[in-house]
Amino acid sequence: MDMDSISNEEKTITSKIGIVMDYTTIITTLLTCVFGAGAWKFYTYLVKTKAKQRTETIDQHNVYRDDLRKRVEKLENDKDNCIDELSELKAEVAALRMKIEFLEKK
Amino acid sequence: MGYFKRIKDILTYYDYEPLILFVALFDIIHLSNTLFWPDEWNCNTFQTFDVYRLYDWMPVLYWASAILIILLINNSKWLVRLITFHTLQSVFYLVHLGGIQIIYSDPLSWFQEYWYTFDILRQVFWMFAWIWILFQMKKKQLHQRLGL
Repeated sequence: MDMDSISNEEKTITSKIGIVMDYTTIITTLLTCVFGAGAWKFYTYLVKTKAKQRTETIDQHNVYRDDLRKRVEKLENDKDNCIDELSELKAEVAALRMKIEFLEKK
Repeated sequence: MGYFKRIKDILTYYDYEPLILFVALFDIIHLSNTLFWPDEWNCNTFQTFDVYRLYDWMPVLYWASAILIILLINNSKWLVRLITFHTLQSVFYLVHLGGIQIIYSDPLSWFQEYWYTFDILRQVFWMFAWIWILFQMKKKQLHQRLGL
């Protein structure tokens, strides 16, 4: 084997190793990216699930609050009606008392 | 314990924008020096540039993306893409330096080993820094989208 052929062979091997190194690096980086993207998807899923649960809890609280508001509104209306009725009854009682007093005097 | 809690709080609650600004500025200055400084034959990187060599492109792309980061710092959509590219490059460098080069290269002397370890630690640091920045940016976007 002469020196030139050895040198050329070495050059070819070095060049091939360089190409293999480049491809291995690119593939390993791509695999890392794929796993990284997968990890990010999983994290997104966890955050979304948590956010959904939180929204559901808030919705439940809102439903309870709206229900309470309706009940309070209804009771307030009932209270107003009762006060009106009470006033009418008081007026009637007063009128009747007057009548009784008048009759007793008679 | 208070010291470590403080570090945790810094990493959790403090914003990353000033860090991006200063690191991108540093990258532009550092890489401009590397790319334009003449070598022993009085040639800069662009004069000896080989378009078919992947590792000739890497510092140029890194330098260009650092300039774009400064230019598009108020555009969060493009900033995320550029930071993703920076992160990919840092992972690429670490994979090349940390794993592949050691497998295919001849054994190193103790002095080379020292610089090799130093270089790897530097790459690990930058990879984690960019991954952290990218994660914080994506997290902020996700939380804004979900209205959290």
